[in-house]
Amino acid sequence: MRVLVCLKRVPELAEAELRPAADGLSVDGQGLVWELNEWDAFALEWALRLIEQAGGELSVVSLGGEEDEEVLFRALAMGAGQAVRLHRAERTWLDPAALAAALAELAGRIGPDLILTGVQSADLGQAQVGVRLASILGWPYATAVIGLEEVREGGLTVRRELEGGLEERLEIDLPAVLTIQSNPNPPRYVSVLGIRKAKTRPLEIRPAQTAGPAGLSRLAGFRPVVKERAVSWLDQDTDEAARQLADLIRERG
Amino acid sequence: MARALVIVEHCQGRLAEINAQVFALARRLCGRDYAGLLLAGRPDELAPEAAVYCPRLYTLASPALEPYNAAAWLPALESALARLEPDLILLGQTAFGLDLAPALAQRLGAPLATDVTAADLDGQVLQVSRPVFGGKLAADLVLPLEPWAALTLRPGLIEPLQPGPAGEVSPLEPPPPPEHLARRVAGLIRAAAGVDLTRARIIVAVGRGIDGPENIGLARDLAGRLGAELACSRPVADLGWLDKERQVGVSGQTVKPKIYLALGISGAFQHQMGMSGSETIIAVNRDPEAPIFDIAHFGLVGDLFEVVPSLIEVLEE
Repeated sequence: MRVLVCLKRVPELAEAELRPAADGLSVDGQGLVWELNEWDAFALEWALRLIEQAGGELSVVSLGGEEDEEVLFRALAMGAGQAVRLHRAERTWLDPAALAAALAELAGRIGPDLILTGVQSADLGQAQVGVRLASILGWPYATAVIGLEEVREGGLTVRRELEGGLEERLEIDLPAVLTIQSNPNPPRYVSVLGIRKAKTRPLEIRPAQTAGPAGLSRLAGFRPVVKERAVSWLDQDTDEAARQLADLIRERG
Repeated sequence: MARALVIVEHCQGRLAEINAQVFALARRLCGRDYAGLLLAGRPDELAPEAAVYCPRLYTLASPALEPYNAAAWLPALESALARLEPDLILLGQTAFGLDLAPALAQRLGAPLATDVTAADLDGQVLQVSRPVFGGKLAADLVLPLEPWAALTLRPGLIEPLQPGPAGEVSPLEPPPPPEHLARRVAGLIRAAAGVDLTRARIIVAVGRGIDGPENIGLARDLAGRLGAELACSRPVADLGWLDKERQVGVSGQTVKPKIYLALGISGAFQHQMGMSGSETIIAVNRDPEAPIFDIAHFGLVGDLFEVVPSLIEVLEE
């Protein structure tokens, strides 16, 4: 089975200070640490396990500039056989339909049986690209997939997460697109040495064909969120804070 | 023809809670110039309950539409929308909305804004705001309404529309069902619910900040002393540090204890949805910008590994 996983490099968000750039149309990169989008890492792991079970080969793709290649090298170190960067140097707004169009063009060249994306990206969190990609290709898709139940002739049976502890078992014909939700199979560890070795492997760079349909969203701007917080801060001294906590719990518990 | 159309969500014979909120947004944007669209195996059973939210409810019946399956819904929706031609299509930001909306938008050649927190119509454009970068920034987007645009609304932000007089119900002719569905629902699975967190008076919940399974004992110790239930956010359950049945949030349990003590939980919106109704929320986190502090009543920016042992000591006194 030939599997293509779509990857995105995103800033780490926990404890990061995010600021819009001066023009408001991108974020100020100063001080940000970048990483592979967490859900894409889960998608990679999902693909690797599927291939271990059913055989096949793994290709990965990312759309961006040279700096985005680090997520491709990570994927090569994890076990991908082929990596493609769709070149787009600008970090400006790109409607998910345009991004999906570029990925569909590549999928047409690679001819995968299965395409995986993360369920969403940690930065913009639009959760659109995978499903739009499936629609362009005319393939079936499933979102928020958390498990593989069976590999059948010409199809898969997967588990998909709904809400409130409800899950769905789905049969899906191949070729298909799945968007992968975080699940109990965490992305495997790769060593720094492994990534360094992967950097000696060839990477294919192609122009991104982002011509999408007519109706596209436009970014008016990013802005800081005005938070109306009602939080009362406890004392910064640990022992005093612990006493305050104990009192609060006694009074209100 | 109505300007806005709400696609009605339902599961296992019940309307979803989000519908009344999506209808409220449609009404706010378009006055009375909106309608609902109900696709179901037997829409007659749900129509009376949905019609009280809209001046007109269109229904479309086909056995293939239940349970929800995108492969059956998309051709049916496309046929209905070709007739109804709304400017704006609205859904909830739910598992259903996120599965359906991007495919529908792509087929219609429409722009889509997901996870919308505020929306406004201005002439021939839709202006929306949505959180980005984990809620640390907001993005303002402009979507052309020509030919149409779509959005999914984040739950819990808009006051649900109060039921009114039932709107007129208009059945639509369903298209012939597809001969083969490339995606088929093989069954619904209810995850084992061995732990009922909804009855807990106090909940001690841990997030990724607990750092490793070896530290769960610390939280368990605290919970034991407080007579509290131990709970967790999604990453902790995914990593297997605690059982999935202790997960609080959209895909886990929804709780309303007297006290919710969140330790090392950043407070993603999906987690907040499961605990924001708690009477008193106390959060400990190293990141002062963590979204959990947006809804916490009491907060401490600090290291849980210092605070919790200290708290245990105080409780021992």
